[in-house]
Amino acid sequence: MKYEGQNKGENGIQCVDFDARLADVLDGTMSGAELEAFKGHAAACNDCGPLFTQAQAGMQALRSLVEVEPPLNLVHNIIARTSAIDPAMARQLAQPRRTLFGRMREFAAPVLNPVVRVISQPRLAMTTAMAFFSLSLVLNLAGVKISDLRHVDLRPSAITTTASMQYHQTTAKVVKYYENIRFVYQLESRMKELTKDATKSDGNDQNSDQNGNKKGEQKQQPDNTSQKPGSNNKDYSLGEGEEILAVLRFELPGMVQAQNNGRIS
Amino acid sequence: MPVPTEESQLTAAVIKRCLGGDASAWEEIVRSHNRRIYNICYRFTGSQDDAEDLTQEVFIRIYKTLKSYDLERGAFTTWITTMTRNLLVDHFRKSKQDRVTDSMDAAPSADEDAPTLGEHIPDEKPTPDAAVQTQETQKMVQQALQKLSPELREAVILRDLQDMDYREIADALKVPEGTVKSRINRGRTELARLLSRTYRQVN
Repeated sequence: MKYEGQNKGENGIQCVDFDARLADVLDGTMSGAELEAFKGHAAACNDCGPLFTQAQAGMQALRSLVEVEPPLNLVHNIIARTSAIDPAMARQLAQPRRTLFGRMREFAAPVLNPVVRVISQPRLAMTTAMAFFSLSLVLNLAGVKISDLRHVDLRPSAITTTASMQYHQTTAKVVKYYENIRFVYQLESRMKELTKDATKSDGNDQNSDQNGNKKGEQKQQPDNTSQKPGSNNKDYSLGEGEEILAVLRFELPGMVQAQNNGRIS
Repeated sequence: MPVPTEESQLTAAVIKRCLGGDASAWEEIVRSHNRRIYNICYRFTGSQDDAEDLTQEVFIRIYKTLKSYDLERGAFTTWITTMTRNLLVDHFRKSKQDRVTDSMDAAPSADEDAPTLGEHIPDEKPTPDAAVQTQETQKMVQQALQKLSPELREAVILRDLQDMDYREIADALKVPEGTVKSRINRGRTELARLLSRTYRQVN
């Protein structure tokens, strides 16, 4: 070859060294004064100069080649051919890959299979269906949707968190409900007190106006509860020392006779 | 002795599973390396059919001799490459294809002032016919590659297409590192000359 065995020594580099260093230069691993010397030799030497240019161009041409796509069935064909060598591996490859669910089902099969056999009997089918229906109804009423459940919700920590949240939410609702009821009762009680006070002051006014003139007129007046709110439960809110405005006397005939007998005896 | 990397340890684990009869481990090996081996075979033979057959042959050979692989003696990729290279050499000898390998010592062209290959290779700028040009260039480079001697061809394929370092190539080809560098230089240079000649013929 042209560049072999020649020893020109331009720029401190001999032609025999040029070939050895060419790869390093093209790889970009040479730098500094060494690289300058190499380039100087390439520019000065009539043999090494074209060699450098051609090697560079050849490398660029090779690296411009793109990776080709292997045929789609290549992997399948390779495995088919290697499986022919080892039938045991072929059987193993022919088995479908077991998923986590599949493995769990396989693990629980000894327990689940008898249960499934029993509940799939016609006489129990309706019972099973009703149980399933009831369960789904309860879940639906409780606001649980199976479709909303994710595997992350079934983690112990997630279950604990959900249960705790549900408990606190329910407690808060109950407390709020009773607080509201309490407020309503207090308001109602206050209203009653106000009504009583108003009634009392009206009664006093009426008494002062009518006292001495028409003492029994109140008896003659019809029920005036429609004009005074709260007076319809007057008997229930009667306190100590309050004046009784009207009394209904209702006595059974037997009671009268018994009372009379008692007086006689 | 090479220091075991994380990758080599993973490979060793997969090989161990495979040797233990785990079919999925073997499938994993095939899926990991089939593309690379197919590309080496395709670039060496220039034929998709031959590349497919040879890739299958390589994997059959790997499957049969997997027990003999020793992690401490080198990377699995290098071991596979050596096997591929040996099979390609066998194929090259058996096929007795016409070795139209232009000699490096051939008389240089009279037209030394002809444009260099670098001027012929399309630059990075996209042009309307870029795809067609690229396809044509790829075809010409592949044809020129077929004309290289197998020693030079395998060296440049492993270096410039498979991006292996000189040490790995030297291990795979069982030759000294200096020889690898020399073959790569000669392969690149000869390829450039072949391409220049082709361009001159076309134009």
